[in-house]
Amino acid sequence: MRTKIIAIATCTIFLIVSCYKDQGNYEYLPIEEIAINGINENYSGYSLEETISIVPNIDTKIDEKNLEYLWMVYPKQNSTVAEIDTIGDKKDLNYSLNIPQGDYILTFQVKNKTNNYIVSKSTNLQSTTRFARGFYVLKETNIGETDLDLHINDMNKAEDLIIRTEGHSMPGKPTNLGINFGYSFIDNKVQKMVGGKVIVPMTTLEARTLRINDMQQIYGYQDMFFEDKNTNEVPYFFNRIGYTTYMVTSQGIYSTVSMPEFGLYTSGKFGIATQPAGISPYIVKCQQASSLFYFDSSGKRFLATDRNGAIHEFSDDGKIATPNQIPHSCLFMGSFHHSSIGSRITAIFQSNTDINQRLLYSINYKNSNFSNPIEKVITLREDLASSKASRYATNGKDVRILYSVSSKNEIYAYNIDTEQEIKLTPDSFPLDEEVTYIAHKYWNGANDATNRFNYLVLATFKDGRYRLFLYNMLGGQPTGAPAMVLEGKGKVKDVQYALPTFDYSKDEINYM
Amino acid sequence: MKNLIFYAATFVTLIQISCTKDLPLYSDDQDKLIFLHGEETGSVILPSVPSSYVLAHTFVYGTQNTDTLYVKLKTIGFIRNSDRPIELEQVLTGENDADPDVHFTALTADQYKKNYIIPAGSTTASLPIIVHREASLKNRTVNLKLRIKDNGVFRAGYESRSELLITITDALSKPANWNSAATFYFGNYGKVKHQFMIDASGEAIDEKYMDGLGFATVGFYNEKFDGDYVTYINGIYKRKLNEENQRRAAMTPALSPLQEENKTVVSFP
Repeated sequence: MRTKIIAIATCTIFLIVSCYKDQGNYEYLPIEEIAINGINENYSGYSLEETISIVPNIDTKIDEKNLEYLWMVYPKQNSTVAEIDTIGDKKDLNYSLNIPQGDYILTFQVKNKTNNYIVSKSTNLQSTTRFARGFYVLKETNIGETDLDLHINDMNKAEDLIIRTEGHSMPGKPTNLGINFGYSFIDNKVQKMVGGKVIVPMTTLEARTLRINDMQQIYGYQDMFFEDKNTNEVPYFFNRIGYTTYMVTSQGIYSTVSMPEFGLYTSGKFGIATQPAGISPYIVKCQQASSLFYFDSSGKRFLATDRNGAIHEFSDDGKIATPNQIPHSCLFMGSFHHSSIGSRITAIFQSNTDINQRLLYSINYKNSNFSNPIEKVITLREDLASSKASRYATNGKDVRILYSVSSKNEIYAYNIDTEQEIKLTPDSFPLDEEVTYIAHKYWNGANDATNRFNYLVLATFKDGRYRLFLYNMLGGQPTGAPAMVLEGKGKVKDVQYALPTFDYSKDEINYM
Repeated sequence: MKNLIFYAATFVTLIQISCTKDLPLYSDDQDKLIFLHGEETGSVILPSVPSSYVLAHTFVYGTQNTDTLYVKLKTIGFIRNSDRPIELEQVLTGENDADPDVHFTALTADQYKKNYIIPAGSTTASLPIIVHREASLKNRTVNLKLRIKDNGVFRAGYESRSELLITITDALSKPANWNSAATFYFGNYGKVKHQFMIDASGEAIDEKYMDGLGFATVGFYNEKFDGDYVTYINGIYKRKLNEENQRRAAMTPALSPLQEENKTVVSFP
């Protein structure tokens, strides 16, 4: 009897256990695929001005009434968690670009409401401003002061930006136009340390830091420093190399270290000039060493920074020429960088014993042990135009060429390796206008294929106006008609190209 | 044998059915307390090496003979709707222990009682510790190590947060936030260096000063940190130290560069 009771109880338990209804769905069907087409890889527009319109094609057999759409945008950042904005819930996007200047990811998501199956596609969105891309021209105005023009292209330009934003041009004659695509500074509007792209016009009397996307002044010359500046302190150079931003003045080298692209901000202000203090306006970026190389005119020697901004002297092995106790006067310094050759620096000196003699120093600075970097000294033959030139430039990346402008406004190219000189005759280049500027400018960014260029840039001046001729290059020489001729009032002193896509981790050697 | 197999199978089936664990609701009635460190507010507890946090107090910058420090505590457990008393006790370290009513008002003093509570509905409290300037503190630092006492209402929570070390002195003492980040900019701490910085800057080089430069008591930096400004301040100290050493060298007889008691030359990185 007991056995039966136990057996019945056991069966009852099994029965209770088996009461559970299996609600599983075993009708396996293939998921209806959703394919998104018709979205480009990149979109860009002017912030607060333009609308981004995208009409994607949805390739699917699912009834449209069962589809749900979502458009999202968030900043393209390297390290921090992005804040995502929903900007649309319809298939077609018409988005007024009301986000600040910057790079963003735009994501389109399609959901099958019947089974929550989601397919998404992302693309790059660049919110830019009219100041974000183009050639900035630092010029001497017709009253001997300084202003900036921006040439968006050869059809569109914004003239006299300083006068238009501040009511007056900058006092002093123009000396140099600094640029930094990743500068950290205090944004006074939000009282916060932020990052951004800045351009720094410099004159014989002052400098100021202007944010590229809106031309807002970040710092005046006094505000750039923690200490009051000597009124005679002349700004020479502003640029970033690696993570170090340098401000060079007649008092020496100042530096700040920040990585705004990784969310590491500082005020961007400069403290105390690094010692030793000797300096001159002849300063170049050395890509190979990720540092500055320059001539100390009071100490008559070459000096260089390391990656952290500390200044180093070079040892004197006496092999070719001493990097210290150089008795000559420096006239020019330019740099060259090639991925297989490395970096080379060219310095031109006027001999201290014969003012008609000029010497070319070829320098290979690697920042390894600060040994003598001089690899060659050439006395330029007196029959060469480059031995008497009024203006010099170097090719930055293609061939080791020294460009020069003669007193007759003729352009010459001297090959530093072969020591041969040829006269250049750029197409449509006027001979009756004063040449005030010569430089090799290029942009070779991998993520900006449509905007790459490689120009020999020549500026002329006549009757109170300038013309800027931009020639495509072949083998270090101008080829064909000018790709662009940019015109404006005043006399050109320096040129920088601004672009919104610059990425320090990849592009530093692709820009000059 | 058949019956045995039958019963065994039934038993196994029953065991399998009863396998689901019934998780109990949180029902621990024992309330606990922990010390908060530095700038912690209770909503965020920062990870720190337990022994690394010290609440340092010096009378050197002021003239008063007593001062009140505040130690912060946070509860673990349910919020209660009535005030709950807290008791702290001194733990003797065996080395320069502070004496009650000599270096601090004894923890059992009546004047603490109304403040030594977790108020109703609250999870945190700041408890006063009254410290006294005593003559011997001119030349030494005493340690007051506190522990949360089991008073039947609260017990100590995490072991690493159940004790707090307070140092009391009338001499210069290393600010608690002279951390490894500050050492990167100012070098290793030394009393002679500390006095030099006070003389060079004209400021009290204490926790408040270091906090203003962006150095945190727990962790490395706070939101005020600006690497450019601290680099600039470092440059000023270097410049002034150089001037001081030049002044010393020019004396008759010439003095050696500024150095600590143990002969380490004072320097800034």
